[in-house]
Amino acid sequence: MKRHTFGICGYALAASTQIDTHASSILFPLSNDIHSLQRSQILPDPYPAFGRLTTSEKYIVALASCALKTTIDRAATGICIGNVYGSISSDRDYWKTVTSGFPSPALFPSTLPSSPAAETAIALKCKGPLRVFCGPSAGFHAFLSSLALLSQVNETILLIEYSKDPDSAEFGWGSALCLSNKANFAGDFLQIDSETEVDSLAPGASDDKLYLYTLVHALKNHTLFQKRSRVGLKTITVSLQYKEFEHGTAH
Amino acid sequence: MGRIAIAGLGAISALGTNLDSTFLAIAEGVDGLKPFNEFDTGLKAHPSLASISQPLCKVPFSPPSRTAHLAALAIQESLQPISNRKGLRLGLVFATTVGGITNSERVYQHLIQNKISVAEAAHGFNSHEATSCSGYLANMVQAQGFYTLSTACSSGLHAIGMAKRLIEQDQFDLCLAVGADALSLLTIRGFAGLLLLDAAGCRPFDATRAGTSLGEGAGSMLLASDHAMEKRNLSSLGFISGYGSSADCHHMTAPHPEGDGAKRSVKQALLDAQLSSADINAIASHGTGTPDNDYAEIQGMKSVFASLPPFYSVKRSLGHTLGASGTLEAVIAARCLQEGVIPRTVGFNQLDERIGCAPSPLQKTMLTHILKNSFGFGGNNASVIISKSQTEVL
Amino acid sequence: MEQLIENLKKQIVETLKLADIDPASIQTDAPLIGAGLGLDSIDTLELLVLLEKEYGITIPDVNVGRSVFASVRSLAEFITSQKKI
Repeated sequence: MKRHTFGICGYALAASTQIDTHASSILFPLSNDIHSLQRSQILPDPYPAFGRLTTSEKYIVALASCALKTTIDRAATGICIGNVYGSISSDRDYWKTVTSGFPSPALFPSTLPSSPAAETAIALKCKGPLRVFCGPSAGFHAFLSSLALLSQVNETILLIEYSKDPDSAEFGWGSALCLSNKANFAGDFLQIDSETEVDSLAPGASDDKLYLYTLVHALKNHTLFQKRSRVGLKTITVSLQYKEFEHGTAH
Repeated sequence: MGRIAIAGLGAISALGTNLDSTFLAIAEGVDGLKPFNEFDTGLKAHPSLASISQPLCKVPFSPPSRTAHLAALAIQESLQPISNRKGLRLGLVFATTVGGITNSERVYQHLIQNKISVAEAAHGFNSHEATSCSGYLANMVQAQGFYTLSTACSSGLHAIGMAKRLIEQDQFDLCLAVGADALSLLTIRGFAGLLLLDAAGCRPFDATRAGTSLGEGAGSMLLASDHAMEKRNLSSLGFISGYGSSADCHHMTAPHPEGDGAKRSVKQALLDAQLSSADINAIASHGTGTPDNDYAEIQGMKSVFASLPPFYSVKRSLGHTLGASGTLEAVIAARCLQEGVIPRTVGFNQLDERIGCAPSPLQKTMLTHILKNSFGFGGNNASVIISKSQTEVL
Repeated sequence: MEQLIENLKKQIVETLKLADIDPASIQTDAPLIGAGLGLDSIDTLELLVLLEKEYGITIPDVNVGRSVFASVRSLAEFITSQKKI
């Protein structure tokens, strides 16, 4: 069994088109529709390019800024994102401008599945690595990848998972969790135990669409999270426990 | 972290349908660009692109898209050195930016012209996402796990870095890092709309450079653990010794003007490889030919290297293959390392005083470590160091 | 001319989806790109599309573009001069 212990810098959950957060310090005062999000609700400083962000980009920047409320070193913060649908809605919007005869230069970069990660890094000044995973198990892959990054050099990782397609019923959820590996982190922390079993069954993959969402939900309610996921021939069981910070305890 | 052996290499590009032919053309300095007329781009003039015009060889099952087809061909070549994979865990990291968009474009077009119903269109979008390619490829090679990465033009190099990490963490014994992208109307119009295409074809690092040129292709690199190399008596084609990555935090389409992100990514790769900058013999640059990229890249390199090693760009030969470029160009760099060749940069003629240095002429020389850089939209940077083993050097 | 300037300000804010900016607050003679409104290279390209789409005007090269996008007034003057031809 492998045990990781990371400090919790903040987290945020979004369901339907509303963002409900319980970040470490400030409660995010956002209760209105995601489509009419204003820059001032998310970012303290003027950000001229904010208006041209797509709905999903705004959504991810908003989620990320909720989870990044505490003072952490953003230059040492990386971002891992898992997303099921990639850039399908931006692709469609861009295609509409192509067929109209006037392709939009501003929309083109948003056809990249990594655009929400890039916009978040730019808006929130995170200079660490950016990793973007696609597909049904993308949330779980992003989770595994962020554990690996935290075990190496990176001080803080912002982990985000969302379903994207703002115009469809699928646009129901998003979650963000910011973890730190700083030894002297003063705050609540997360204990992650993982166990890998190798079995001889045929290779498979589980559908872990709501992986991080369930995880953050458990974190918010201080309940135990346990999930078995399959990657190829392996079954990985992750259990996670919320630990309250106690003065004088080093973890 | 340790070095991970390269056990197989595969490539398909506008220059050739395998690595041998692609490498020979690179070493000879062939210009891979030609006026593109495979489909109507809606642009006033046919853009100069590096497209693969010959029909693609058949692959098992039926690939869901051209991107997947190109990837499958590169994978088959890179798996040739190993005939028996029984008892070895194989992983796949697939990188792309366009995925199956070439299919979706046809669906959009048919929808607009009312040639198909919405239900038929929905079926057509099954192959849209990148995962449709990686799922098909994983099935083709019977991989025991696969990841799909998409981080713009650095995707392909991140795939190599990630495959290295997966083997280091003992997740797999063998891991394929694959990058592929087919030419699509969406990317051609997108780059044209951002005024990033040079009408005269890209001229990396040249004083008069005015943009890049797009291309298509795929690269595949098979990485293997020491245990797998020994068990199957494989000979190493080089090693991946270092990997670094960073974000610019600057702009969605423009690089940081001083190459700050590029600098941090290279430094991390050197740290990972436990090498100093003086150990690097050549740089396989990103070198797209856009005025901003080439300047920023060299600025970034100057801040890492006290004296800049010889550098080159293959963008005029291969075109900018976007999500494939990192893997495809690293596969070629690995062959350059083996053969002791630094290719000349096709398209370069005139020194840019602002950059202050010229890419290397064709050189036959002893190489030990090559640095490969890839930078993507959004300031997404990756660097990988490809090395010969110490014994080979001695 | 004044009407055109007013329209342009509205179109700029709309096309570029400028957050936090009231069209009336854009200064007619202030630089359009870089300082001031904080427009970047992508915005400049969107303005080129706007000119082509709304006014049927294409800008031949970068140097002309630089002087055209110097301010809202220079943009309005350029559109007027093109219409006369």
